[in-house]
Amino acid sequence: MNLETKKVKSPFKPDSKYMSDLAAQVQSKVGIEKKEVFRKDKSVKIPSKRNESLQLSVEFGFPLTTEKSKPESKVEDLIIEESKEEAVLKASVQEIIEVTKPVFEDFPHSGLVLRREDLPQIEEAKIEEAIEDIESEAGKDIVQETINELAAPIENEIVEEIEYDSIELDLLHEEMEKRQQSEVSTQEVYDTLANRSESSQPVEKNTQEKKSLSIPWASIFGAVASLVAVAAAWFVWTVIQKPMAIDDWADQNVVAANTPENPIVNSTKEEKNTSKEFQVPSLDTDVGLVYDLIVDDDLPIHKNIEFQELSEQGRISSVELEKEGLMVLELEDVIFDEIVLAP
Amino acid sequence: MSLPKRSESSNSMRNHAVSINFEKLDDAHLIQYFENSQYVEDVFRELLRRFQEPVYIYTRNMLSSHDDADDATQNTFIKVWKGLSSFRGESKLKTWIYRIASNECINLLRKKKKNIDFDEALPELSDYLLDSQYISSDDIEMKLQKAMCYLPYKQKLVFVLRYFEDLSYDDISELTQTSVGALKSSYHHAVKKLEIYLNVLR
Repeated sequence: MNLETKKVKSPFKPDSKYMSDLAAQVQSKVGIEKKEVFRKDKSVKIPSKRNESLQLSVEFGFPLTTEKSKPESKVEDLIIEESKEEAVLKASVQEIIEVTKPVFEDFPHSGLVLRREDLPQIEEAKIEEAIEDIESEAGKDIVQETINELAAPIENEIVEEIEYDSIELDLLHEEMEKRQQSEVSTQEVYDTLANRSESSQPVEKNTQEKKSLSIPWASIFGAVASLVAVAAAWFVWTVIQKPMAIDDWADQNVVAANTPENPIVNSTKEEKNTSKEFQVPSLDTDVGLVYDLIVDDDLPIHKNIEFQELSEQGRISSVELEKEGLMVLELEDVIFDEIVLAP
Repeated sequence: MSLPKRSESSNSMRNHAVSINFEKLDDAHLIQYFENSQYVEDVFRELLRRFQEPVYIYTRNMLSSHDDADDATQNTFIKVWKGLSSFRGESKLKTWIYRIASNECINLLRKKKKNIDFDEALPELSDYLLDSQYISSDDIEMKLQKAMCYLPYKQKLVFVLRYFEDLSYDDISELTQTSVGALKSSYHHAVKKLEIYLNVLR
């Protein structure tokens, strides 16, 4: 990490509240009036209530404001409003009633208003006049007729059957035939379309047959490629690296472990210790004596069987080693042939 | 940059009770109002506004402990208040205040540990980094702080003034009464040590 190229900041970041508190402490300690040193962030608050009007401009003393979205008027409010109107109307009607002269007068607010006292008399007189006029025109007692009509039971309406002339029947037949013909023609069109769709399928079959008759290059290439792959696998399997049976592999490893390697560098003590792990059955018995002498910490003890296997020089050497206290020959414990030492 | 002499302008301003916006004045011009008793409180507040946070961060960088940095900052500004009238403007205002703050840090460390050797590192200061007050959670920043605790204190001082506070070598030389060459060498060694330490910490 290169500090010169990459600027690392200080991790210490005191907040503004702590800073203002600290400034206040310092001011009090030095004995001056405490004042807010750090300006507080004046964040603009967005009004949460959208219903409030927002002044857009001030021109000629008339601020243009967005209209408040009025809350929906409740049922109670509406009832109150209606009752107010009613009260006003009643009051005005009452005033008018008090005035005696005109029967109908043009009231500025609610139009024509009748005087309540005179209303039944006027209605009765008008109705009687109207009935008399109608009866005189028709020559009937209308009142009685209307009473009879109302009293009579209501009969079900019967729809009259229509009677057609021969000409009309001919026209109907012609119309029927036309419709049948049009239906037949549409059916034919459907049939032809269906036949065409069926006829297109055999064509596709023919093209497929033609295709199948052509040489299948793809399958040939596939077969060739598979053959090549098999041949390559066989080549690898047999020639390049023939896999070894597990027994063969084990034998090979054992032989490799037992064959002594010519040391490039003089072997150290550690290497000798590690070589002890490998028991070397193929070593000559003479060499084995010396090997045991070197490797074993304790005195090597040899029995006669091993001794008999020694060469002449080996026997002489082993006797000399026993004399020097480097080896123990337990020859007297077992029966053995007489050993003939060279002079 | 030539600083204006306080004696030239202070007398002319003494008799005029005009409200001055000190925030718009630079350090060199703010010094002119130090002797004026009419404005000295406002000037001091302006110094607090400008330097309190940087001084706290500087002392915290040096001491690692929030409480110690708090004490050092308060003591620094008390001494600034006391020294306002004696400040001649011969050095930069920032350098003067940082020198007071540096001395306060040394005083605090001496109180804590007697026979302290500032040529040696004070690794015990890294324990204060566990104090999480006003510390960001940035990993590299914290590692650098920890690494700084293993620098010899004088190297740490030079490194902090140069790296974090962006003081020039001349200013640091004036502040520490050390030659620029020695400071450069010290800073270079400090950076190399810190880079090695940071790479090991990774």
